[in-house]
Amino acid sequence: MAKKTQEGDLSVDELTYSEALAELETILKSLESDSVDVDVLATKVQRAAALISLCRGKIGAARLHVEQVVGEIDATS
Amino acid sequence: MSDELDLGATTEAFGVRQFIGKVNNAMKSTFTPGIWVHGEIESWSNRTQHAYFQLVERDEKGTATIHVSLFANNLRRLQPLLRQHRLTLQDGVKVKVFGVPDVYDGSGKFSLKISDIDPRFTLGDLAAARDEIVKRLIAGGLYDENRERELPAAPLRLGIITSVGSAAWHDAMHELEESGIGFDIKVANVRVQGDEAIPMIVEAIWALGSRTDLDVILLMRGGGSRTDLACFDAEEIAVAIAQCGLPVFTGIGHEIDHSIADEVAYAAYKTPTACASAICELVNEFVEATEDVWGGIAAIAQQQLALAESRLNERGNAIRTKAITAVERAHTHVALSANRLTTRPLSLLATGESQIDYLAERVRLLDPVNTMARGWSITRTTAGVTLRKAGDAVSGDDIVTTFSDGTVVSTVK
Repeated sequence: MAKKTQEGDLSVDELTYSEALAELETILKSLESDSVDVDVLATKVQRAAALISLCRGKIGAARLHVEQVVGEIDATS
Repeated sequence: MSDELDLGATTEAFGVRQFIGKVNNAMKSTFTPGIWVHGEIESWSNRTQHAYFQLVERDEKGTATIHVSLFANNLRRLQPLLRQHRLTLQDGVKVKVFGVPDVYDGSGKFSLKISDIDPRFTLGDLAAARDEIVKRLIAGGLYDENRERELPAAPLRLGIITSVGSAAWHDAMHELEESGIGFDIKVANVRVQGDEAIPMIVEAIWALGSRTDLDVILLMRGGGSRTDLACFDAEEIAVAIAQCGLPVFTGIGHEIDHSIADEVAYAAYKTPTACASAICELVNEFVEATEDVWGGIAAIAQQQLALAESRLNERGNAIRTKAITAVERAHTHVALSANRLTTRPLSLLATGESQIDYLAERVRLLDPVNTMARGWSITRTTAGVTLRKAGDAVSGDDIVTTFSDGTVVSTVK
């Protein structure tokens, strides 16, 4: 079961890459609107930073894994 | 005139013997060297070395009869001729005989002393009688009737009509037993010549012909004279054979005989042995045909098996070839896929990374810290409520102003 933060959002660690990306887009649209509340601004930026970090981590892990698998394929072909 | 004179001149009386002698001389001079007479034999007697019978002729006026004597020397002389034509002199046989009339002085009996016989007459009479019967059978639709009966492919249940114990019987049984075939035989023991023969044979044909546990009837008799075999020309026997419910095979007489019974039979053979042999041959043909069929079935089955095996091998080879092709194709496909795998994911990851960098930059630009670095600040109450306009500030309250590098607490005046 996914954990939720105090604000009601899912813990970043529980998200998939595509979920994190979608949430990041949502946060950006929210921040770029004129009605953004300054009080939640920092919180949203903090969440966005965490999502970016998650995505970078996932991309890095995927690259490592892909390079390892591709290396195995090359070795056997 | 002369008659009266002659009568007057013959007042002399003859003695009986003298008179008979004169009569005989007169007949001899009239009938020399002899005369042919024809009629039917009756009361045949051959108890001594001589033979005696009566020659009769029946017509609308009644019966005309003459005694006939056939003395031993003439009888012996005629035997080869009779044997040659396979004729037997007996009651009922029509003959044409040559002889001289004679009155026997011992008894006054008038007779014909014969010295010759014309066999062609008897044979012609037999043939004419046969022709008459055959015509009636054809007209009555009986001539071919028995040949329309159904003969089983393997006739194993035989009804035999013959004189049990005769040579014909032994010959036929020997042939059947020698064949080694398991025949089921029912026998009707009959007389095959003489007065009783015809009714006995007819009754036997009806009796065996009405049974349902028989396949075929064999009517058999050994060789004999034409007159001995005459009963097999009888119309009663021919009708019984024609109407018999089972096919009738005949084996009558020897090779030159062909009776009316033979003509109407389903199949006719020259001898009882040949008749029995024909039945054995039918069964053997059936057995051989059956074996041929089985042989054919076995051969076809083997051909089919060989064909199936060949097809299987062809399919096996095709599968092997196609499998190798499929594997090669799959190998190529995998190689292509592997190639794409080595490039595509990394390309996607790079795209993702660029996207994240772009998003991070957008986030960075929106961070208030950066805005405050350009001189902007946020002022809140000590309770943390953001002061959005000057009117929100209460005189005397402390307020907290946040800069990019820290906060300053002030008092509103």
